[in-house]
Amino acid sequence: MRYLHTMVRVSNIQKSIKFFEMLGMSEIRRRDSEKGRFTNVHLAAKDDAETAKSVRAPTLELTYNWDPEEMDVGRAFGHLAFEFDDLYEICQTLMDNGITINRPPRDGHMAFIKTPDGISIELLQKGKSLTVQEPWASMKNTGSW
Amino acid sequence: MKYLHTMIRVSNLDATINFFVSNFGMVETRRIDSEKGRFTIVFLAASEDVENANTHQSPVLELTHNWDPEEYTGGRNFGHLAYAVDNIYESCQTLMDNSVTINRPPRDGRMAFIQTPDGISIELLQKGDSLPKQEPWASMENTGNW
Repeated sequence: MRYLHTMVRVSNIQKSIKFFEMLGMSEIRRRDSEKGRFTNVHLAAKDDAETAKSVRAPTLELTYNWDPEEMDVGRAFGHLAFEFDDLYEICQTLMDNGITINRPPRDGHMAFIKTPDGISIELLQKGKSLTVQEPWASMKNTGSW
Repeated sequence: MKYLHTMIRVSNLDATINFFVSNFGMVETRRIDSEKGRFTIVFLAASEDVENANTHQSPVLELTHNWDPEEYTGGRNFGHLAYAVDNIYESCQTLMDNSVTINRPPRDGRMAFIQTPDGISIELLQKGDSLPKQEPWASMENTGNW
């Protein structure tokens, strides 16, 4: 048994792809179904792109149903986690693009943001935590994640 | 940037670990108990992911058990977790023998859906080519949703 992907539903496919591209993911596979009236897009994180192409894992599957539906948020699902070479750099990129850092990386180790449809994303520093530094160290939490 | 894990909250830690271990042979690779935060975190890896999980902590499934009870609702924005299996009929037979409902039976020899004790959808996909269609799967109807 082998992990393949996690699927999340999205209300706006273009907006969601743009969001994940900002994090460093890229589209590796797409399927449009006229009959099922949906589009599936598989995205892979930069360092997973090679295995995502060869063994189809690990990927993030976005499902876009062509007929609008309400994307309510449940408590059973928690988050998706990715590691980054420089946590401060990715958080700065996100802020520059108008994304709220719900849990800023005060500790140089961990941050949380949300996708346009309210899916929590945990951002973790690869290897050892970065040195605690401003403006992150004194940045307060915003909302929930 | 690299994928690490997907986290789900679980109301009964032992029942959930048992679900993933006894049905699929997943392996616990790490555990953290926090008295202060009143939670337990358990990381599980699929059998073929154990080596990577031990060296790179990925890809794994994180179970969070909060010691204080809370209600676990499903949300439409989260879909499912998917795993590839060597033989989808064998996997589904094991699940049925363990009284797990196959919400979407593998009629096509390729895909099945089940749910965890807290209602998280799990997609099972046949590795490689689909298996030849065969009974009892071919005529087994759907149960509930997934």
